[in-house]
Amino acid sequence: MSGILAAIIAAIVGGVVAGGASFGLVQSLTAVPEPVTAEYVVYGTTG
Amino acid sequence: MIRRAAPLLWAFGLAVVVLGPALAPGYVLQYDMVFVPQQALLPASFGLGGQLPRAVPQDAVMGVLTSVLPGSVWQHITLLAIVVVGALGASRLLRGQPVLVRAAAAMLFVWSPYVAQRLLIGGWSLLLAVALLPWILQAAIDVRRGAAGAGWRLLLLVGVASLTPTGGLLALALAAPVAAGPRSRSPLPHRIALTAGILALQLPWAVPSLLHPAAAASDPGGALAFALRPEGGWGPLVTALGTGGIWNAQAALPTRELLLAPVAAVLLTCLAVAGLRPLSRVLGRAAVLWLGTCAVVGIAVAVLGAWSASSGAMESIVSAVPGGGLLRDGQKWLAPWLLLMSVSAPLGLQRLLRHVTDRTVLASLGIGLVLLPVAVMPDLAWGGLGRMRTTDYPQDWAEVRDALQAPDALQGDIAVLPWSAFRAFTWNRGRTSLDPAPRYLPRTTVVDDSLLVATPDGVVRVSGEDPRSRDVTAALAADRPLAEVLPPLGVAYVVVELTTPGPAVGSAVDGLDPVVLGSTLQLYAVPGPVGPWPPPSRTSVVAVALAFLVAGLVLITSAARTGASWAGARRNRGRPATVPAVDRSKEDT
Repeated sequence: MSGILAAIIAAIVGGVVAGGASFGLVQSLTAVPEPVTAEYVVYGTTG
Repeated sequence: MIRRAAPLLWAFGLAVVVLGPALAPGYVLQYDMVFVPQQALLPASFGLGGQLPRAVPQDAVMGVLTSVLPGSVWQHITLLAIVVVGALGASRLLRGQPVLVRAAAAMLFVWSPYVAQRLLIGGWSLLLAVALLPWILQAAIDVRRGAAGAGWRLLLLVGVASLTPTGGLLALALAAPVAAGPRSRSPLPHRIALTAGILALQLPWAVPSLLHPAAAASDPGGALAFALRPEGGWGPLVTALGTGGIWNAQAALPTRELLLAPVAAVLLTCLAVAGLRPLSRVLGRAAVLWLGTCAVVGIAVAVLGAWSASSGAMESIVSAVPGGGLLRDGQKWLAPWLLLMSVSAPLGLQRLLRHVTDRTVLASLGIGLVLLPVAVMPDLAWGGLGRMRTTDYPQDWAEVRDALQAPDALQGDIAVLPWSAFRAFTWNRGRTSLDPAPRYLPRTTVVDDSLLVATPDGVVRVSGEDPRSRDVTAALAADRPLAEVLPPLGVAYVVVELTTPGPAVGSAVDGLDPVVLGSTLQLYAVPGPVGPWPPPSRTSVVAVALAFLVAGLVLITSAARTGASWAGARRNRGRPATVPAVDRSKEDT
């Protein structure tokens, strides 16, 4: 396998890991939780 | 030395990254996870309360442990152990394999949707059992191979895993057939004794469950409310293969909805299938076959509860079959699949790359698999990006506890208001948690044991089992004064928790005598004579005491024998081996 191909594969893997983590972090930090409208403290929501 | 300590240091580092602020001083009060400074040993701690013994023997064990050290210390130890023990266990199952393979197994096991979601819903005793599963499987394999002392080690591990019924069942299902099944090299009497020991360790929760009047009647509504929740529209099966799908959306991280989640689930499943053959060479064919069987059954239980076509059948099982209620939170049975996928997928990748010689490619793909869980679910870091944080109980709680322990305190139990099972205290940043009162207060409490679950069709109430709780619910609904309702139920005090939403207390405390009036917690005494509430029957007490005695003896003996075996192995380290090493490559057990 040529060095260039190996570098491309390494870059793709690194890109997926770094991109996925960054995108996920942004999505998670900017997510707005749905308001719980129940009258009482509920155990959880299934929706 | 550094080489030997590296995995441990790495596992601790991983624990700090995952848990973050949850390791600060104080208590993490989050959904089912409630630790208190000193937990009282009450009949309910041994499964002799009004509710089904879902937290037995964990409450009894915590009652003993917190008499030595405060609950916050045990909570921190437990949270650390979940990550450290789990990571080291998954890595250790693949000993002899390249470091990246072992690191990937540890990461896939710990940084998983299953562990994340169960952490966020506070299922610490189940997670402790899951973290022990790799060690249990290894011990069972060692028994199967005829290794001396492995049986005692297995019993000790199963004993710790059996703090909760689900953990005990997982350990039992995984360990017993591998250790004592056909073609095990362990002598037959040893196998019989080992199986009996594993079953004996389940007695502390099994006996009170069987003796409970509600043993055969869980609310069928729970089957639907607690069914696996498909994430991101990918369907139950893909969600289950990704080890996510906890019923409560509040306990799922936002990244579970992103496209990378199902892609990773399918990819890891394919790698896990590819890794089954090399895994069989490492662990033995029988162990992998059985682990695979458990994984398939677990996935089936989780998925069948979520499919509308089969959810009706699950409701029937939960409501009609004794012990069927254990199936209602189906996602928790994905633990065997989590273990299988975690140890098999890295071997699958290694197998697929067996013809690749380029070190850059091998290293980048190996490191990529190690970091894949972080890329898919980065928001697990730092306690789910700060979701898990510690707090301290306000001083009022200690004052109420002291008042109840005063020499002139009344005899009788305690009712707790607001009348609902869960709290969202302002002093806990509004986080939802189970009411700490039943564990914090030194008397038996009567609380609302029904569970409210918000569904797209409205709020569903999953009913509990305590008859006194039902009586109080009816009285409050009829607006009857508690001063009149509680004395015949054996209740001498009412505790009112403030700074939390819930049904209005209103006039319920009218006519009660205030004892402690704090700003966060108040204690009222019920005036007049309080009738005795019948204690558990003598038969039940004797049966449960025997169950704890037998299980305790098995656990203590196994701990002592394991400790002696471990000390002996340390003494002999460095001496010439007198027993020829087992050639594992020729095994086909």
